[in-house]
Amino acid sequence: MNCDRFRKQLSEFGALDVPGDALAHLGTCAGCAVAYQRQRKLETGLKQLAAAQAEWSAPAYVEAALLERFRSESPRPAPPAPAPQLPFLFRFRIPALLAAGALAAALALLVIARAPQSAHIPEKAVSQVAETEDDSAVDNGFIMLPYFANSGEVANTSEDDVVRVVMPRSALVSLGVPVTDDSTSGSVEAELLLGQGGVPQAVRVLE
Amino acid sequence: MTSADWDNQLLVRMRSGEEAAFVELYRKLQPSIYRFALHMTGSRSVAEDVTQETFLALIGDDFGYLPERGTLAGYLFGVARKLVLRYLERMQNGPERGFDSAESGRQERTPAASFSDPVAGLIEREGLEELRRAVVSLPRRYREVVVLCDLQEIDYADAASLLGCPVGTVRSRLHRARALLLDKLQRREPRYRVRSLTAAGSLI
Repeated sequence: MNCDRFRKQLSEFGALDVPGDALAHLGTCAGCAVAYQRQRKLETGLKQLAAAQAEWSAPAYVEAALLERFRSESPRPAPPAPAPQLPFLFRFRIPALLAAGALAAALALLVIARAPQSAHIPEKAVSQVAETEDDSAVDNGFIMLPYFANSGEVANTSEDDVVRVVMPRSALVSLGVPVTDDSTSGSVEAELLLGQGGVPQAVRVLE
Repeated sequence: MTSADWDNQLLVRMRSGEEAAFVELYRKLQPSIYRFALHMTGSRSVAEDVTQETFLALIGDDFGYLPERGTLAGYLFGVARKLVLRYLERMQNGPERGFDSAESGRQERTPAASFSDPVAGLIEREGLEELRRAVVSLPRRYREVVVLCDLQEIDYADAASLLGCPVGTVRSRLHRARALLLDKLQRREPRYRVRSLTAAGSLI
């Protein structure tokens, strides 16, 4: 290997990485050996410099300033909207009021279910009942109950005063409703026309 | 997952407002940027400014990084390099001075290798500070390759990518830079060479 080739390899690889066969030239050329040693020392010094500075980094206040900027500029996920705050008493009263309302509604339903229906009847039905008070049967199928037919009083009623009931067929007998011999057992679905105070005035068998 | 992929994930999380992702990204990437700026400018305050400006760009809305065109680290380095070059242009000929940083004093305590020739003796006696001064005084294009390849220990291919030049150019610049460094070290402090040779009994 001549000097030119050695210098070229020294340039290409650096003194620390020059190929081994190139190093053989150093024993035959004092000039190249000096150049090689000088460059080797320089590269070693640079490596030491790199190692000594490997831990260098920007001071903490740079990070702090950047963080502050980041917090002010970065998009933030929107926090969930807080529920509107009710006054203190309402926060506890509303559930209690709801519970009380539910209880009251349940009691009202119970009372309505048990209480006799208030007296209302369609005008048409009333007139028909009045016109046919001599008969026990009316056009719309209602049969005047005996005790009411005899009293001759017809209350103003409406459709709301017709209630549907299931009653023993035998009970129809006690109400004076005609039944056949073979149909006295079992129950029957019927509608009662109620007067004031919930007193039945007429009955209509639906079957 | 590669380091570059992880950086991209951190960037996405950071963009969604996750502060921890930004902190991790910053702490991972800022040392090399800071050191590059410090070696290139010789000024700690400028290096801090460059680091801060680089990451402010990362925070900003107009950050133009595209993962398909390179790594995030490379992109940030490119931002930092532009800032450094802008500073050097303002300074015209660049700094002809040593480091103004506290690291200079700290560096003096670093043990140097034992050298027997004049250059090695110079490094040994003056410490690495003189070598650092010599690096900072190199022309910018040579300083860059020394900082990247010798001080940051980036391989030639990556350095070529960062600098936007062929690998051969990096090699030739590095060779030239080292020659300039040797020349500077010998010319700048001839008294050390004389002392060293005297101590070896070569002159007397």
